[in-house]
Amino acid sequence: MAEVNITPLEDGDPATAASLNDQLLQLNNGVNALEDYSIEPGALRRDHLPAVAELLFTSSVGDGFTSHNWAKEWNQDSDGTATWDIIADGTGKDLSETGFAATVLGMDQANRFAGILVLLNNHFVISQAIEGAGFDPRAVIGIQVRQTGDVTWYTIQRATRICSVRGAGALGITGNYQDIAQRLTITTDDLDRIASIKGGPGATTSINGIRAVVAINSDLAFPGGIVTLREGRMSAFRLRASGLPDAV
Amino acid sequence: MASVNIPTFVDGDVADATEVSKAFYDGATTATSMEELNGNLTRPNMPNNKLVTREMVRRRHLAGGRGVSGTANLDYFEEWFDSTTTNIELDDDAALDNNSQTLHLYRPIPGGCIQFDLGGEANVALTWTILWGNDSYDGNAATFVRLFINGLPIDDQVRLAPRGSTTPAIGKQHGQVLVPSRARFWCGHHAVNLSRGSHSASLRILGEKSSVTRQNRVWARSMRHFYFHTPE
Repeated sequence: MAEVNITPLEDGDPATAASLNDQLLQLNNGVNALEDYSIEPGALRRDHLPAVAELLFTSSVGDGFTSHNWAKEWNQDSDGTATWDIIADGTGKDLSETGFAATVLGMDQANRFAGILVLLNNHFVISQAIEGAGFDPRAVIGIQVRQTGDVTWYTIQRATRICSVRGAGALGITGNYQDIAQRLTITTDDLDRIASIKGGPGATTSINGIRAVVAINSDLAFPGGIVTLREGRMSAFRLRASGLPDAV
Repeated sequence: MASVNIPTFVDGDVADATEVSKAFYDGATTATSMEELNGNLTRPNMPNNKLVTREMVRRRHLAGGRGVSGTANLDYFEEWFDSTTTNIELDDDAALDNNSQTLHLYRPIPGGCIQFDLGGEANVALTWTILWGNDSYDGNAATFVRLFINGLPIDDQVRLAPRGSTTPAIGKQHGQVLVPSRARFWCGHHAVNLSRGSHSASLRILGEKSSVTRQNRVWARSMRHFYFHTPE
């Protein structure tokens, strides 16, 4: 609290509106100018502060397949290229969310959103047709974001993971099970990297789309590997940093 | 919680005692009186260039979390899943999701269950890992693990481990071995808004009462929760 200096009123002096206002404004301004040292450690409780995080969305695919069914198969690319596919179960559900409010990241922004926490789980089986043939179908799992006003999706580089088969089995039925758990917070650093991409969107901090993707790597010498999705689930929270806004 | 704003006096105006009193004390929740000094000073009473720092916030009042885990093998035999009705075909999607006859047969898995208290309403994220399987050689056999929150099953948060073997053991009706390489991993998460109070989250297992599945096994498992409080 800033220092409050009130000049005492003297007996016999006329009390004018100005003299009263001066006194009260000193108090008023002092109370509204709390300094760091005025707030005792641990003084602010949950009742004093707005939410530090809010759930943006939860989406899932394939979670209805509780039997031996599998949700979707991706064939290994045969032309030597691997492209990103949205993780989907083939029944119209996918792990792509664009319906949430655009979230502007950055401590210098009004809402001071420090990042978006993304939880992603996927369950795959990677199979190869020929036991011991030595070829290596691989799946690369990634998280992409879309910035407000842009139609292009950009991959968060540090969120990609590579899964590869280490055993043979019937395609889509047995093979090497891969359970991928991703936990990351998308920050302004990620957006800076995206902004610096040649042909990228330029400097911007607003996100209004998040999706999970998979790319199946090619092995031209031994084509035929299959990556099969059983289920996937993705949730996101946007996190406020220490500087909390006046209103939520 | 608001900025204090005492109205100014104007020369010549008659001072309204009620308004003057309200300037110093007003119990309304949206008030901007000096009543804010009674423990309600907070961020709006700080200059715009000041930030709420971690030290100012009471521990676990905005966010927190905890985890449990276990690595000892846990075996669940078919007798544990006995039903008072009939044997249940667990590989039937609809029956598993909707048949209440199966829900009470799920057994909590130590190391995959957690209890926690929330001081206020909060967004809670649960994350878990588990590895489980069975000794069945029947292609239709399965062992299920499902998430329960506060003792109630959660839709869609159920997964199965298929048969763990392909041929019966010599002289036996069940499979030959229980090996992690043929078991099922599940790394999962669940986000939910929960009210103030005590809560529980648990992974529970359900095996088939069957002549071909004698034993179900849980290997390593864990369950964690973290929460972010929301204003009530």
